[in-house]
Amino acid sequence: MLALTVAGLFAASQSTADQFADKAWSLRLVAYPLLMLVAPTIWWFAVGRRDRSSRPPALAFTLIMAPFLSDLTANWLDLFRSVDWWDDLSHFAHWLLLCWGIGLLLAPHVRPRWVLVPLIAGIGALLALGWELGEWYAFIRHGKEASGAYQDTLGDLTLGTSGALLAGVLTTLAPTTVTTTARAQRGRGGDS
Amino acid sequence: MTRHRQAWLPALILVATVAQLAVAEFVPGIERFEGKAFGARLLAYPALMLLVPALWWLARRRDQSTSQQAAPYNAFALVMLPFGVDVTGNTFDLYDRIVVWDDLNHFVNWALLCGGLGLILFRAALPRWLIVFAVTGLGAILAIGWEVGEWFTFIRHGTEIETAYEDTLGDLVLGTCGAFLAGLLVAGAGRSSDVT
Repeated sequence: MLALTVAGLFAASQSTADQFADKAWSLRLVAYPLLMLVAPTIWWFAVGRRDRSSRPPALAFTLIMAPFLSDLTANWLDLFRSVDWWDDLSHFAHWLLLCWGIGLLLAPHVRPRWVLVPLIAGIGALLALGWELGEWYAFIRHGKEASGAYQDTLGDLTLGTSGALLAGVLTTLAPTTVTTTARAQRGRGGDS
Repeated sequence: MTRHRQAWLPALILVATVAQLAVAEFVPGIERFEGKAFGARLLAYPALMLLVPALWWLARRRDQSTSQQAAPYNAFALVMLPFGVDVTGNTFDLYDRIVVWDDLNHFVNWALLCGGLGLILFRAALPRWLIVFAVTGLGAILAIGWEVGEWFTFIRHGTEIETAYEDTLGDLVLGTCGAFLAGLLVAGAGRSSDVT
């Protein structure tokens, strides 16, 4: 998934096709792989390095990386312009995938399991707010799209948080293996 | 009886808030209270203040293992305090007299509210490093909910639409930062200290 995304980003950055115009592909070529590698890197330092017998949570990493490939693919297929509701669907579905992956990584540390629902929904809300602040800083504070930004922003925040809420519910339904590291943390009263 | 010795604090906050709301609604001629929907607040604020204690009580009834557990009265007081702060701010006309009062409220009230909720929901369930994320995230959810409520009640009808975008982002950031501070404090409070 990472290799596909990097290859697609490189091709998009070189393309002259209309759907790629003014979308900062050179920046994305650097930012997307870095963001996709955040979760595996944290996992490596928090778990993998200490417990060499731990298997990397490949499903969680795949879910976290999927939104980046999905965004890129939608740009290749020009879906953001050809399908009115694609952007809204992306906010919901990408937050669902991303937060589901995060939820699977955090689940072994959380008991009782229902706490996962507000925890994952909250992390989704934080990420959605961070995304909207990034949009404000990059585009809207200079006046671009300011007129329609208010309701778009509230809509995107609501869709992202709703996707994360569903991710929290789905995480509670998945079987969880308590890792050695999580067990050790819980054994110390959860402090780390 | 000692299990309820700290119940006076949330009770005092509730009574003080309801008393101020009643004055605002029923005493005529006080300009600072006019046009601020104090009739609706007189119903909504006490209901919201009692929501968390009511849910806690229902959850305790369902879980026999915690049925002898003392109620977290200090946490209830933290959850109730933002309502009292808001009404008191109106009583002393602080929203008009102090320019930063509204911004300060978003920060402080979210810190109080999320601190109380964090003590009740997350302190016993999560490792400390996750408590910070959980409380901050809860603050972000509540801030988004509040702003969606403002849009539904006022702004979609055209009130303050011109300034709404950056005001909303500012309020979201202040509320979430308040919740982050609360998360740090709840995580730092540890599991052994008495919050009841």
